[in-house]
Amino acid sequence: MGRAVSLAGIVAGIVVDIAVLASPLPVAVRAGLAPFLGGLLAGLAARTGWRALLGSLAVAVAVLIVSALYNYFQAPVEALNAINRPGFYSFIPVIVHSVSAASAGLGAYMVRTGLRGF
Amino acid sequence: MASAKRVVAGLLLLVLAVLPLIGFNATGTGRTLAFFADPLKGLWGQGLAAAPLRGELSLPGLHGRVVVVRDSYGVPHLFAENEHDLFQAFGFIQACDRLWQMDLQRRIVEGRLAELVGEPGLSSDKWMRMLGLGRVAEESWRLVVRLAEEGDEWARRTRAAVEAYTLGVNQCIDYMARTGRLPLEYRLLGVDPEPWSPVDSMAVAKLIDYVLSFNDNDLLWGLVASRTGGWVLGLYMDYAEWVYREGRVIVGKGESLYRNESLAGFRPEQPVAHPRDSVVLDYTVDLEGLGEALKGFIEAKMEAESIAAPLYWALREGFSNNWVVGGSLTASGHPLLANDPHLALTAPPVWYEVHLVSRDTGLNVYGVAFPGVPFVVIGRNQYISFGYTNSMVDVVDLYYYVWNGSKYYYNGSWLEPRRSVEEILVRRGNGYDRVELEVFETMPGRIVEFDTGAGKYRVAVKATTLMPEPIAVWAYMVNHARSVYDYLEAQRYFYSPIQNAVVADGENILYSPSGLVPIRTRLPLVDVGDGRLVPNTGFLPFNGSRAEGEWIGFLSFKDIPRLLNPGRGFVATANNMIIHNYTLDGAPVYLQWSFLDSYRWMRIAELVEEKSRGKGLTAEDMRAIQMDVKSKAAEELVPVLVALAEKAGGLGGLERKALDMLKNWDYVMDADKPEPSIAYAWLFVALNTTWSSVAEKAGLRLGYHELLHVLRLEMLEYMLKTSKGGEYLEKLTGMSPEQLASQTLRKAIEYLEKYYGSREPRDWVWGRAHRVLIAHAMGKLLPWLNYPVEPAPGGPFTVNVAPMIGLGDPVTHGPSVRLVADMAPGATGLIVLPGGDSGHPFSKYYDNQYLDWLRGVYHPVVLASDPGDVEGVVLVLNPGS
Repeated sequence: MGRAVSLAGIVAGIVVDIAVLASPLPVAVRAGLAPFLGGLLAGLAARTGWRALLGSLAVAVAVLIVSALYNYFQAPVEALNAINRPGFYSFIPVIVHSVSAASAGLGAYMVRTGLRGF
Repeated sequence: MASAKRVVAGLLLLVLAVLPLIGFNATGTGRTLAFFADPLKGLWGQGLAAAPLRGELSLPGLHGRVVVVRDSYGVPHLFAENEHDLFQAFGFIQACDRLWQMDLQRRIVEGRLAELVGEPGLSSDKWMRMLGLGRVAEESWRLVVRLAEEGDEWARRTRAAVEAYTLGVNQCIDYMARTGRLPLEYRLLGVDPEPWSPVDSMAVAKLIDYVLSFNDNDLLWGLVASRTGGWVLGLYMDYAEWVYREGRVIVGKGESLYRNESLAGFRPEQPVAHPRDSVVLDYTVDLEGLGEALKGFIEAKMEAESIAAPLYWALREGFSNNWVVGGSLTASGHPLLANDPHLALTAPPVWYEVHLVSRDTGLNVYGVAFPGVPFVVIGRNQYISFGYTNSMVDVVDLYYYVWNGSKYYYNGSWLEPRRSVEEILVRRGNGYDRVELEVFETMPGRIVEFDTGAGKYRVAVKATTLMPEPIAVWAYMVNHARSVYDYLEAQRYFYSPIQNAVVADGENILYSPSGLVPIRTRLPLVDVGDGRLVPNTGFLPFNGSRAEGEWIGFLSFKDIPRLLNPGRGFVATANNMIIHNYTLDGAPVYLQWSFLDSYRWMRIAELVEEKSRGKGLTAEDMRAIQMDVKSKAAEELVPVLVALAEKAGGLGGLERKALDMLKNWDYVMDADKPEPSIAYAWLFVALNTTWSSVAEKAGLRLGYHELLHVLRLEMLEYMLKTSKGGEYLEKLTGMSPEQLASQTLRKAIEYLEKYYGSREPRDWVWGRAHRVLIAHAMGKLLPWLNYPVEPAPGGPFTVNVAPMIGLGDPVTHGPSVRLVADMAPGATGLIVLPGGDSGHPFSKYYDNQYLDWLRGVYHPVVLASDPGDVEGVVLVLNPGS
């Protein structure tokens, strides 16, 4: 049951993350809010700290893969160039998305479980 | 307790998670960072921004279908049923490839750069507002409209083409905004493009005009002569005479000028003056006073241009080559034409390669257009080919005025200048500051506000660049021309920048400087040494307060020196001297003072003559000449310097070794050889040594690129090869030619040792010091936007030009396109760009021609009239709502 909830949290996280990224919200909102919400959902649904961390990272990785594939199918050569050419700058989405989602996931889990004692 | 700690840790993690959201929204650069961080529509999604290449799109306003075939080089071939559709589609396609570049160019001219980049753009904006170039662009468009309304058929058609193009550009802007395809640069700066207008196309044309003709020569000569003495001008005059005697002129001795009394004048009509109408005044110029008046002006101009320089046009050395060969010297018996205009090498390139076909008028033209301008500027159609170099004709004058704080002194009276206030927006964070600039206008031109000498003087400018002109009509007509005579008819609409046009049709070749040549009057005398007094025909700034040097009209259209099918069989131009002692009814015509070194011209002429022997020249020969890297400068100067250095004696081992290498060198500037480095370093040091005292006195940096237009290498050659020149050399440097040669060799060797970190001359490989850097406007911040840095063959004086200032400085200037047109029936030609047609850094066409350009691999010019005859991916633009 717990595993199913964790999985559901990850799936929900992915869906929400992508929905925010694809929304017409301003870029400054989209890029910051999407990984936060995605990771948060995965973390809230997790049963252990490890699951929260890995689950929220899974959300980020999945979203990054979906984004890359979406762009690749839209314009294959150009999308590969967009990832290959900018060097360090290509890693910014990976860093921001992963760190933000993982922090949100683990943070949400810790706050949730820490609060259980009160 | 443990739980509390976990809660705190959890809260801290949540804060960390939410930091990007806060940061992206709170800081000025937040949107830019967010753009990088967004994996879906941000940096990774920028592949989508590349122009649509295939499929179908609807464009409201089209009357019929337009087929756009994108060939394997990324060049669009547009096939339309009518010109309206053709130019509308061209606007759409070109903007989808180059919108950011187009936008940047118009903003520079209109003085609106600071709206994009903030404070750093302000000095450029002030400069452009003072010149009023944006206003001139508006007037140029009004002129086209007026001519069209007055019944000028060519103007009417031009107007329709520009308006259709504008519609297409704006449809592209809407399309890109709607589909999330806006170019990367907008996303980085966090701004959106504004709609395009016909005036913006005129503004782009004016920017090119400014770059090509608005030089500092008068100013530099004024500063040099005022601090060193008028005899420096005498040196230049003697040198020019020597250049003529050596036969290094475009219109050579014995060539008959093409004169046709039935040629009509400029359109619309311009005031015509005869050179004999010039009045020479009876006093000599106070050179010291001139220097005082110009103090500060040069720095102001340099500062104003410094922002636009790295951003865009920058190193505008104005080098270019073109030559046209008549059928008597070619293998086919029909003319060949070559052109490689040398401009700043930028990513994306200055030019946009395109093929335009319209069935209704039979238009079928291939070549390069400036992004923002709807017509092919260099290229060919089925009937003629056309190419340009900068003619170096003097079309800019400076006037200094005594200024009392609010009025200027003119011819005995204090006059009130016309005043206007310009408001400049300067970007700051998410908002704008407003800066007001008061602009003054005197009788000859606009006053440049910068303080020039404790407020006592102001400087005004008069230039053909600042005149509105129907140049768009010229470009449209040239695209439709069917003979060299049609070209001449089109040239009536061309005022500035004055260019050496070479044109060929199936049978004829034409050389025709295009543009207005001012005739000045009230010319003061200048003491140029040796008791010689010559009138200041425009080579020095004028004293505006004494009403000197005012323009009374222009050389009549028919009197511009032209060559049609010259006896020599070909015409070559390379920014060198056009003609010497040109007179009309005995009165001297002042065309130019400063021209560039003749070395590229000499090599072109030599190769054309050599290769035309036997079977005659082919298009492949023309390509080979464009790629030639043998340095005529080295061939003329190095043996002289070697002999002088050996004569001087006292050479060290390393110097001896270097001399031996130079003696066995073929003067070919290959990237993998060390000899070019030795020759370059020696000539560079010799040039600096010769002119350093002059530059120092004038308060100028020798590295300032435009100074090299004034104090040049060919003058050193003159000084080393003639006895009179030797006297000048001694006056300049205090050294004999032998001393100069040996001292500068020593310094050059030290320079090379230091740069390469080796005492072994074999290590001094040219390509290690001489590399080409083609940079994007934002390339300093984001180097991955630049093209890869590569070793470059050639040098500043080779036909395949690759100039740099000192060893290791990047080559950022060179052939901005290379075109060879073959006018034989069924033949077309060859072309290559230094980059690619797309301005989108992730497009496969962003830099796909770059290495081809570097290695001299050209692709064919295509003049197919049916889309089925062109291989590539197809995009169909349909009429739609």
